Amino acid sequence: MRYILYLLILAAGFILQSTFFELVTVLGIKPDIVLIIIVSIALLRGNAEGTLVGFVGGLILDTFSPFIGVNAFIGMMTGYIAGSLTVGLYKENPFVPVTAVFTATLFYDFVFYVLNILLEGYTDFGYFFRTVILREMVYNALWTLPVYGIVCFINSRIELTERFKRKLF
Amino acid sequence: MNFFENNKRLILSLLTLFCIAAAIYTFNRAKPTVFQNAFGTVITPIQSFNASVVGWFKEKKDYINGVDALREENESLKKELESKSLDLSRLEMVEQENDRLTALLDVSSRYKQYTMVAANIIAKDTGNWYDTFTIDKGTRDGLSKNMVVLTGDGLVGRIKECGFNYAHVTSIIDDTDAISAKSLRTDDLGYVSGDLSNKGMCKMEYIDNTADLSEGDEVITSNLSEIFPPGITIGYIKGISSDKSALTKLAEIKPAVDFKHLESVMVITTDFSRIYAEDTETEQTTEAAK
Repeated sequence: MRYILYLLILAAGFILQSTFFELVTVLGIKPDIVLIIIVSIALLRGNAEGTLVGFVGGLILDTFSPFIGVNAFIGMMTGYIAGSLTVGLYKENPFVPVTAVFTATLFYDFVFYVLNILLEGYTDFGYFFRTVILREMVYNALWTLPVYGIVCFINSRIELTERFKRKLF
Repeated sequence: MNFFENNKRLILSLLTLFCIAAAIYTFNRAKPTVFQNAFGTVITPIQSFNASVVGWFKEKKDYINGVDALREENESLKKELESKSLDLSRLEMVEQENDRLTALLDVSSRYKQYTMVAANIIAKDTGNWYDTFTIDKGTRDGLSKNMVVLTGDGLVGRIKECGFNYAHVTSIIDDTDAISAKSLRTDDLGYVSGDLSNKGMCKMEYIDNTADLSEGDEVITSNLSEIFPPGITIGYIKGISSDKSALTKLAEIKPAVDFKHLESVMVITTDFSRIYAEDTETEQTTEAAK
């Protein structure tokens, strides 16, 4: 049940990102909703689920890329690291998910740059940092709270139904 | 979940290996993988619906923003139309003459053999790095990999990957393709590719150092490419500089197509490789006959 819902959230995020979010492009940058979903779930549920959700979300993003694997790998690492580094933080504090997404975007885009763009011969990291990465970090951080809110809501509902089955609390 | 919790490291390394293997296996493949095709086929109708909603919103936005701009554009278009209709009558004359001369020379005209399929853009690339998009036609409508995508303005790109009811198109402002091109005025050859470090523009490389190019020159596809048919407008030269090695020239090119407001495109479904093969065959046979 939980995993089917994860898959649905990721697919919905991907479809929205490839269609509607063209309308909210700022300075040529659109938010990466799938990445925000990955980080949100990693924050709420720990690094094991973060890894899996990151992997599946990356695979979905990979349907658009020239070959499969790059986004899946980076998504997986992002989910794992985001889940590992935020153990023990108060997830209710809005500052936590916003900072996490801000940093995760830097990590994701940096690895993506190294694996794809740098190897194509574009060595001017400063240019790409200014025009793509920094803008996307800020813009993703702005979109974090609504997405995180939705993921939190769905998560609390699932936990409510699971409580009776698995004696979680 | 306990299984995952206990074997995190193992799963992480296995999935990493899977990613590397998948990247190697799927690199430069001819057809989309089963996974991609299935996922693409399922979400295409949804994206198609969303795209029409997005189009409606865009239309309203443009309507609100654009009344003044439209009036100006209308004025300039009217002027342009006048000059174009003059050109057109002149071209008709030229075409008639061309037909007559072609009949005399007994060469079949290549340009009339193109068959086109119209397609709508239903989704854009999700990331901020590349410029690829999805159209709502696929193998079902007779498309296949490497078919050429264009609009009335000029060249858009080619099909990178063709699924059942969708196709991914790489545009010419993406840097993964290099197109053999030439300047219309001077016939100087070069290679056009997108420029990631100058978003939305193309660069033309390996131009001969003695080439006499100037700003505003039209750049078209050359007849050297096996994928792109000759004579399609790519864009206009915006700036010329010397290459790092100073042995060749480098030109900055503004694409003729407005990629920001692209909604529908045409796909040429004629198979050029076959036509070229036939051409060379007939050439060979005529040579043999001689």
